[in-house]
Amino acid sequence: MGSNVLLEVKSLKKYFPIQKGFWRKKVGEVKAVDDISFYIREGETLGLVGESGSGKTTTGRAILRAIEPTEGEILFNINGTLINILQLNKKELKQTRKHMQMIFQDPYSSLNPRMTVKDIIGEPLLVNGVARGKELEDRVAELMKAVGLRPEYMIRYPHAFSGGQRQRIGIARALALNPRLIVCDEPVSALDVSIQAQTLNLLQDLQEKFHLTYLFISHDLGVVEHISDRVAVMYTGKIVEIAETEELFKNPKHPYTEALLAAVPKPDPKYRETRKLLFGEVADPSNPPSGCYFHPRCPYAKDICKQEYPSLINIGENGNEHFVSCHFADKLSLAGIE
Amino acid sequence: MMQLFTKLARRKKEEIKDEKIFLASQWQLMWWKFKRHKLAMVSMCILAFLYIIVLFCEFIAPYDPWERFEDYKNAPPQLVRFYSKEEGFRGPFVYGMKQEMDMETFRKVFVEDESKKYAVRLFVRGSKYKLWGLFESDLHLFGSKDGPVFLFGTDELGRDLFSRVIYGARISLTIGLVGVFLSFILGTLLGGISGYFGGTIDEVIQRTIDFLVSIPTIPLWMALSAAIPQDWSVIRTYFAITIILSLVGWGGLARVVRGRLLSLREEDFILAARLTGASEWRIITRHMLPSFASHLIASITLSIPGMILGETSLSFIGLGLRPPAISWGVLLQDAQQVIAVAHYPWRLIPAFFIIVTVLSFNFLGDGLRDAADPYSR
Amino acid sequence: MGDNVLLEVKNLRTYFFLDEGVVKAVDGVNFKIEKGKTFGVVGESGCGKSITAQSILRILPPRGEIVEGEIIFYRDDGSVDLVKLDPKGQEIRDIRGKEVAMVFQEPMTALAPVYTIGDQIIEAILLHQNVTKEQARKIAIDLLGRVGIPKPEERVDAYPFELSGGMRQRAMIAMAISSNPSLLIADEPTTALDVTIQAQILDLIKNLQKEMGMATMLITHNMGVIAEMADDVAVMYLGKIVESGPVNEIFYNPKHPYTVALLKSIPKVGKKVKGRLESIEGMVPDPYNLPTGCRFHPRCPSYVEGTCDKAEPPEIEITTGHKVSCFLYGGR
Repeated sequence: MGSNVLLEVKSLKKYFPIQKGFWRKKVGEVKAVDDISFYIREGETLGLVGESGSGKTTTGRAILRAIEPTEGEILFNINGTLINILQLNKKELKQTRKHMQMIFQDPYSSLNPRMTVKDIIGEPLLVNGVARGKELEDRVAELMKAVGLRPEYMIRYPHAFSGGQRQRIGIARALALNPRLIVCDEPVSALDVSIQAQTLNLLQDLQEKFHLTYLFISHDLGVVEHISDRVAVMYTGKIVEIAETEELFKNPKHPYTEALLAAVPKPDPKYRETRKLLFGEVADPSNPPSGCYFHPRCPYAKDICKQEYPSLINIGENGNEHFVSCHFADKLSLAGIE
Repeated sequence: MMQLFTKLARRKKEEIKDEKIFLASQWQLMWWKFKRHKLAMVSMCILAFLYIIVLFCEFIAPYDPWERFEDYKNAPPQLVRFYSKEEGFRGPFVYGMKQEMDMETFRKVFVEDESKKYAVRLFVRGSKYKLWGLFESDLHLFGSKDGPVFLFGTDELGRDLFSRVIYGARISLTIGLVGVFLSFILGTLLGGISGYFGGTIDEVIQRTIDFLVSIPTIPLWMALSAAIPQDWSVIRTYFAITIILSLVGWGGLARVVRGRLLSLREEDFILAARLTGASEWRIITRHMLPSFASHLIASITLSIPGMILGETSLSFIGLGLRPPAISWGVLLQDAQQVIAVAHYPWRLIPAFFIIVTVLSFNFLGDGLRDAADPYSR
Repeated sequence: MGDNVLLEVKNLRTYFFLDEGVVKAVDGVNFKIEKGKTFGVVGESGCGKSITAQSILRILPPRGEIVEGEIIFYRDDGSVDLVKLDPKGQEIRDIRGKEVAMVFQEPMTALAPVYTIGDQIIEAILLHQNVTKEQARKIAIDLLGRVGIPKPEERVDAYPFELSGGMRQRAMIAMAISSNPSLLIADEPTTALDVTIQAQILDLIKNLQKEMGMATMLITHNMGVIAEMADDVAVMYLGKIVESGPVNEIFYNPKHPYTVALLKSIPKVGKKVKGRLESIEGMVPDPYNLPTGCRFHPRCPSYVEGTCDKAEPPEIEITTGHKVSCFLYGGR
């Protein structure tokens, strides 16, 4: 791991209690995020893929402390000093959050319909005392230009904009404080196909221009492959595989990754008959199976898979990292996508 | 060429129209949506009219509501006429009244005396009054110098029912507002605390509301108002009643506030504001309050009729305001016996006003509620 | 073709008359669905693909009206024009659910929450088949098994909320196929589902189709799903079919600039593009203010001034069955 690591997550856990009855007695736990560790290098995009209930959104929010993690360490590198975000008090957290922002999935609920675009994009500047008045207006105009919106529109309300434009407003708001890290939580899932491409291009342009680091959360493998440098695959609160994008897609080492890649419908009729089907349903994070959570659906499962959860180990060759959590990671030969 | 110009002009106009929508704040959008609700618009006009009457009731009422016309007890409403048999059109006037014995029932009844004609004029000088306790005047909207005019008839003491209904509006229409204002404060505060902090406080407040809501209203009102001393002045009783009404009525509002807060807390834009470092105070005042203010106004409007009906029912059963105070409920006390209603049906006129008011508030509230979220499609 | 046509839509126009203006949701659409084949309709939100399906079943939302066109449904004993039927009448109700069934995007809203899935399937069976209640229950259990619900004799008494999204969609499909329909309309059947579950459901639909010989009209925004499933494809943009043809023609030989751009703009798994994606500029226009001429011209890279913004391009057949509406291929 080099010195240019911007964010390091160590043994992050987020358990949601299941409460019942009048006295809210705790009757169980949903292990939404269960002991995951990863890092993001400065300037790179780490894709986080998984199906619903895999804990990818919870991970993103826990990093920003939008929800309080149960346990773990989140180390953020600010100009060489490592700060554990989970130990910050309110005031310190406010200071640190200037460096990390978020882009949301739903371009409708993420903008306050009762505020003008100027107030929405300008809010971070105003509440952090960065700019006000004319200066604020200039900065908002600058940000709007950066995301491809006409600055004249800053006096409009969000309802004047289409989904794609609204997402641009949300991006401009995230950029306002010059953050280093942006958590993108399914930023293009709610958009139409033709708008998705525009938005992805914009995110890439901005990354280059402002030297941003992205944690890109999505369920869409095509999108993740396109934008990410490295990809982490999550299943039921755990990371099952993490590697360079090309390596992961060409040479998956976890049976779940293989199945996921096989299941995606490809926009090319020649792939029709090549699909391998994964049976069963996504595991329930409040009541996960014994051993490896994936074993009930895994075509390669052996007895040991039912008993022991495999640890995440590096099986990469030639100094490349390829972390997999599978008992047979180095024995199986799995099909990727050519 | 001309065609091109008109086309350009039309496009320009459309753009301006669009731009107006794009720049519209939530209140403008709400107003545009509200305007489409015809029934609510009509109701709003009726209510505006009623409240203007409330403001100027001394001027609009032709007589002092306590003034007794000894010769005209239980007189029926007089019809304003414009044509007389002899003269044809002669401007508005009423016929005088004389008492006769009904030979079938042996009751004294009033009949129109066509020999006497009292001209009805606008801006007539009559009994003295002080408008809002400030301006002394004796000018009334209408009246007659020649003899008494009773548009709604009189009661058994010979007091003009029209003037009494007008004066009654003052108490009946304001008690709802004051009561709602009090329960609004209670409801927003407690509902806000409940929704924002959650946890044990929430649980306690919610169970309190459950308890309050589960008590049947009428017995509760009765118990509370029985505690109001008989010798209190009209004003003090009035306030005691509003407090009783609002103490019982805040629960519903508190629930609305709590529900909205809970759903708002989950909205992404609230999280976004929190992530940018906005303070709790800013999140509440800039993001949350504007988002549910419109819903709040709608539910407040919908709870006013309950207050008005509450006052009316209390006064009607004699536990609310008592004579000499005048409210629509007090006036209806005269219509308690079937016999009285059968002989003097005009005593039910206040009920008509109550129904119109309550319906108007309900329609207005419906319209507001539909317009409250102008962003939903 | 000829005898194999099951459903033919001719010049269908469905408009919505709203306070803000008239929305031409479907504006002159022609297509044929052949027996036993899968007809895919693809397009972005607002292109009119769902309204087309609702027009066929005559279940349009309020204020929506078919203003023109024919929807001819061919049966063994003659044909019927669905547009001419009373949307609340007995005849369309017999066709709906019996001969033409529908599967929706969100099974939770399509299933009644207070009845067990068994009750709902049994009701559908009793409505269209002449069987006793006990027989219907047996058929329902059999159907649930066929759509791959484990332990169907237990799940038949489950309420919709007790099932996962994928299982609910299976139950929905069981209900739809209960009366052996000759056409299944599936409106974004897998959009709300996870990738691995989506693959299962698509597979299920494919197998059932093969087994029962029914035709499917598959509506989706996902080009991948279309490539996987469809025999014939129609690409819709703002109420019009801009291009239609056999699936291989559409994917390997796309002609309309919109289809071309759409295919290029999707990030494809396993085919990483270095750098930027080719994207379609601009946004989908406001439905109240449609562009003149070809509706795609403001966003079209091959736009010719004075032609594309003046007239609507006619439909031109390039090769057998491959039709495109664009001036690039004639009609100027």
